[in-house]
Amino acid sequence: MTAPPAAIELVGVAKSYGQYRAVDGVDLVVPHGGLTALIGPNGAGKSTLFGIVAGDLAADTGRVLMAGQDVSRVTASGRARLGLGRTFQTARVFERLSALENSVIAVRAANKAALRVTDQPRGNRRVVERARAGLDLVGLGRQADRTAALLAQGERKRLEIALALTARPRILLLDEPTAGVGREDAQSFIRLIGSLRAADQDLTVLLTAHDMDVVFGLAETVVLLSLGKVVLSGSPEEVAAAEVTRRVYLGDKHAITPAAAPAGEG
Amino acid sequence: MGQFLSALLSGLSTGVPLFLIASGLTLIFGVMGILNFAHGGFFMLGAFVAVSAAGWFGGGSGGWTLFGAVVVAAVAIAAVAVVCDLVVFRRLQKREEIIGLLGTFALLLLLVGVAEQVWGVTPRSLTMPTALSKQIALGPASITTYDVMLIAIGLLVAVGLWFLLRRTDFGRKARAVAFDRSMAAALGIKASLVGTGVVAIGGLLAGLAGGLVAPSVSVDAGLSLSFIVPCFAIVLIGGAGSISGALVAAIILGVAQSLVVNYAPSFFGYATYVVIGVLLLLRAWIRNLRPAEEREQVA
Amino acid sequence: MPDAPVPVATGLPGLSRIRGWTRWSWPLPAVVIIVANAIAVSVLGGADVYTWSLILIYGLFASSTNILFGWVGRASFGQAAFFGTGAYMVAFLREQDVPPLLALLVGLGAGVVLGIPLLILLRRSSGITFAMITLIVAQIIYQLVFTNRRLGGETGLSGITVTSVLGQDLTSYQAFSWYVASVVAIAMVVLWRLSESSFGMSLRAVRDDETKAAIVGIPVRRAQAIAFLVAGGLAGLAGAMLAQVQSTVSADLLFWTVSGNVVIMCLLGGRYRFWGPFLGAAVFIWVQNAFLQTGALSDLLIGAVFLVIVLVVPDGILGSVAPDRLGALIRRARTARGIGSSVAAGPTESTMDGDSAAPAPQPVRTGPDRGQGPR
Repeated sequence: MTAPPAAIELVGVAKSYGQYRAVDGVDLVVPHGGLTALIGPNGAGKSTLFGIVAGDLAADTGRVLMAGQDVSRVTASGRARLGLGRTFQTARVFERLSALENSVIAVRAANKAALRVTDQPRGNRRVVERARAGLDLVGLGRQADRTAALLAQGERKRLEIALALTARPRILLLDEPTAGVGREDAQSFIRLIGSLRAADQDLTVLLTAHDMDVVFGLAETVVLLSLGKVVLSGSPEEVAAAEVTRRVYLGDKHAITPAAAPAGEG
Repeated sequence: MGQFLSALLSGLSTGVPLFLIASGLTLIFGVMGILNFAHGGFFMLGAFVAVSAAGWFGGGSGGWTLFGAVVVAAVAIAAVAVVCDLVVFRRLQKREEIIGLLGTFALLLLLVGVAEQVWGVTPRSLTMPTALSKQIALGPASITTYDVMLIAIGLLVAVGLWFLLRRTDFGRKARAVAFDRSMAAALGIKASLVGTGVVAIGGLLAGLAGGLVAPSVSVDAGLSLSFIVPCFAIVLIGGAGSISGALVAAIILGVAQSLVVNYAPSFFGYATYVVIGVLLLLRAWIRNLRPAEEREQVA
Repeated sequence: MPDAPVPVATGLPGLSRIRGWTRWSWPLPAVVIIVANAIAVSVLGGADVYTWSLILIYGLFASSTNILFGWVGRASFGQAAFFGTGAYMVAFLREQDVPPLLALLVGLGAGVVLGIPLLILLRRSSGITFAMITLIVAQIIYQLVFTNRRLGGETGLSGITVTSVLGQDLTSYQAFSWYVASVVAIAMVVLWRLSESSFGMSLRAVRDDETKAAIVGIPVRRAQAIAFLVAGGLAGLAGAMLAQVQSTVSADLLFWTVSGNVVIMCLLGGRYRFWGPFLGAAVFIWVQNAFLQTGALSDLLIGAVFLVIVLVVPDGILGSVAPDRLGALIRRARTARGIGSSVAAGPTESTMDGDSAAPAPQPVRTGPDRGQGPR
């Protein structure tokens, strides 16, 4: 039995804003069922690259493949239909509706029933149960009736994940999933993703992160970006230990190389 | 041939008031993000003020009477516009765009009400100065001195606006605010002051247009309601914030109107709107062809 | 996670938390209308009942407009076109022996049909552009009718008589009021069902975050198109009833200020509440009537009242009675979160009351672009 194609593959992707090369020829492979973290300092091109994978932005050159299929020209919502779930850096939810209503809408949309005019989803037991289950999964069960705009930041992000999961996506794109949340929330997020992946071996996750807890807690592969290029790709330990990682984050001026370390080695 | 040329020329002059109103509209929209229904009200008030001012100057058909009336109108409406900015626009600016639109609509109704109170409901008129009623021959075409004056003023204003926006400090600030308001504020530009300035200019132009048009139309509150829609269309077609776009669109509309009056008078009522419709369709079609990312600036 | 108590009222009717509410509440709007009509008919005299009928009609008109304004988040400044078309349809049929109810259906159908070509023009239109295009197109229709002598031109068409419906005699104001109330009752029930359906909820999702809605799997364009057609149809129905009640139609019905007024009615009563637009229409008609006695002062006062409403009471009457702190909270949340923090931002499609400065990742620019730089 052949191995399934890579969940996401980027081939020679580049994008410039005028003279500025945000993404400068990136090749990237996210294996089926894997979890890859995209890291790099600000300005490295993470957000642009992420936008290209998600379908918000069109690359100037190169191709984007999802499970072997060329989706370079497919819009973000088109990719969503193909099984791409995603969250945004600033969690986007339906503000004026309650968490439960958010979830109900996602449930109906996932069933291709978003435009039914004769149903009453909030009175439909199966729909409501599934909606509540989605909220329970991310720990928002008790906030079901809370208006989304009034949720705390961590809760909003969890709601967003619940919405993304409703359509049972094959690939999850998480943009800075723990940005702005407290330590406890970050830990429960790590547990959540861990349990999701344990339950579904076929679920692939690609995330961008600044939070090293998340990177080390979850990632199988880490991809380090700098100035629009992939500088290094490997396991979290490899990338953490690598010389170049220090240089990328601290800049050549400030990185302490072993050669410059005080004498006393070996 | 002569008739055609005459129609063209008179079309240019028809387009001038439209341009004057629309340029103010598009400036305000570009800099403040508010599509100002009340601009029609400014125009109407300009016409009314000019009528009254002409009366103070003794009425009659002297050219200077009209000149004085127009100046008074322009300045007065600029002042009214500034008041509106301080009381209404600044508050609307912080809200979502559609609330801005509804707010200026409400303001327009208010201005119409004010005009009805001050000037009553019977239409007023202003005598066309004899100096402006003369026909001049330009080759095979003929044109009135009134039209010549309008065209001259239109050109002056177009050049003046270009100069203002491209060569003055204020113009640079205005373009900065139109481009990115928060960024401009971060750079130390007082966006709200710039906004007031732009509103004042818009009000001045609308008042000017009202005064200039007063001798040739029946002046009543309906002016505000009937002029505003073609001017909105001009802003839409020419591009938000684009003075040159407004100029071109206004000319097209003016000429179209004039041609219809001359060659197909039975269509007069809705010719303007048909042209607008066609231009809108063109615009929609062109937009579908252009790439998704597009930028328009105050220029 | 700290347990936050106190569920706050959502933008939708918050009574949905009562058990079984959703299943059994559907006839309520009809009950409300019928009861209100019963009260009005017995309490008011003669001409006031006529005014009440107008309130019913404009209430429906405003509620239909709110499908676009409050539910989808797009203000159409051209609903008068549908309203007037429905009215004129009835006028055209006045010489044929058409049962009044059938005439109403024709008005409704005309409203739907009129919307179809407009949909093409309105593709990819953002908030302001949408308002402008609807305004202009509706004004084109006004001009076409106004200048056309066969359509009655300036004076309009008259002589629309409705003497009986389904065997009931309709010669008195009261009887007519019951006729109108019955139709409006049914229409409001339809609206309520729509509101509570997946379609209605999806519309609100589109309003709150169009991009997110698309990603979640809602066919956004189709939803907006259907909403547009339904709104047009119901506006046509309201216009048809107006023609029957007034016995005359004129081009005035198509003038753009009518469209503007009806949107203000929605704002006035509360666009995020089911009965908001209806209430707004009632207040508007009442105010207009009251000030009609004071002559020309009415325009001034109406303008002033509207202005105050827009500036001061963003959520409308109903929005303030059931205090909807959402607007202010959303505004604050967006300012705190918004500026300079998002990737690949473009112009914001702000779909709710609040600060429109919050950038949103949205590369497709659709509006009168005010010019923003790359982020």
